[in-house]
Amino acid sequence: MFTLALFRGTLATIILSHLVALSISSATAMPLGLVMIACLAVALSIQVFKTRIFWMQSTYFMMVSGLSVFVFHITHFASSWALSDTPLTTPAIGDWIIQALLTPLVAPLLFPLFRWVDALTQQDDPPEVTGTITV
Amino acid sequence: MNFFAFDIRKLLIVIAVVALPLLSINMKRNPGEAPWYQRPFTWIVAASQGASSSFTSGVRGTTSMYLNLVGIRRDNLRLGRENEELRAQLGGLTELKLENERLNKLLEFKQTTRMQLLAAKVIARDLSPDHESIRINRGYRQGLRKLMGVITVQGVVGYVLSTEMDSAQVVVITDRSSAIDALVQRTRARGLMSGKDSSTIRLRYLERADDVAVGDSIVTSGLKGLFPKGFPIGTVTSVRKTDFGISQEAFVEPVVRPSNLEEVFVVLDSGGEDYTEKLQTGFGPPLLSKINTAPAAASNVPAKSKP
Repeated sequence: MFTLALFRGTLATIILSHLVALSISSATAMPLGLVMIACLAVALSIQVFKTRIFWMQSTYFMMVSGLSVFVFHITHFASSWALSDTPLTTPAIGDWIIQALLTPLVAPLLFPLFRWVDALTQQDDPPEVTGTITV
Repeated sequence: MNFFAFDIRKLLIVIAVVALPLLSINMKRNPGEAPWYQRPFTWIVAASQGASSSFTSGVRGTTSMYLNLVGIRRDNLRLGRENEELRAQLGGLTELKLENERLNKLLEFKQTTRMQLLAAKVIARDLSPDHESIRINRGYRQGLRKLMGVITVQGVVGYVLSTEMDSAQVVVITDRSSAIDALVQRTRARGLMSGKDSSTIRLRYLERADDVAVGDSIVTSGLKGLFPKGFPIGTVTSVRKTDFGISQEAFVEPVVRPSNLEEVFVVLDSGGEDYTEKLQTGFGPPLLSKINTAPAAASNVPAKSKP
């Protein structure tokens, strides 16, 4: 989902985030609606973040992966309070932190695979965001 | 040559030298110390024999050690491999023994109850750290339906959330979205049990006048037959009553820890099983057999009598 959000358009990203949400919901007691909201929040926040900061390297992919974990859990926490009858009162923050630390370690292993898929589908690389600081 | 021209002295010397051994044959050899003329020769011979023996035994020992090293190394490697195989077998056998004991307890429980139970193995746990659910290896093909109760020998685990062909997702009682009708065993006060976090559940919607105390056992009410009546859920650790309001809630420590689950039972049919009766006869799940009917807590509200 990260790679689609980074290297694909908005529509494809949203469709895939829903598919990912359907997959995740079968492995958790989390309501489907909350999973979808969290996945959508991750996908769209990556799309927005990409327009501000972006460079075509696996290090960027690692950074985005780690931040996405926080976005997912914080969105789930907020949406459970806003929408659920049984809000999350004791979040497992320790688990969140561990996931946020471990996910970027796996990211560099997957980045070449995703780039290979992009090359196979002949997708153009998105432009790197550059700019000048004016005082 | 003149036959008689010989030296008589030489002849006597020869006879004496030749005759000496013949004389010694006739002498007895007395045990004991060697005669004085023999001792120097004996000493020299003994010393040289001792030195020779030491030398040859040392050479033999060193040679055999080096020759045996090859065999020793081979034996060592073989014994090391055998040791590792035996250790692995021992680990596997220990695991089998523990599984055997666990399964024997489950079988004994299943055979002594009126409930129709289906044994299942836990194959996965919840993906999210903020939720508590497990996946078991039984599904609708084996007769599972939504909301069927799931228990172990110790107590209530949860209930079936969704079913697939050969697997089902079970929401554990410690999940905040779970809800099970429950009773305070001592006073029969009724409430709704739901999860709070991974180690605590809470009994909500108790009436303010209900008598609930720390240490009270919480059991299933048996409503709708999803669980047998009187089956243990947990023990009260604290009670919260606000200064105003019409209800109170109790925090409960569950008897079953989701992280330790390996095998569970799905209650296909509770069969009208009532563990309240079994408590009276001292038979039932292990927790029930340890429960003592505590005296009513000191309060202005009299304890409710059992139905």
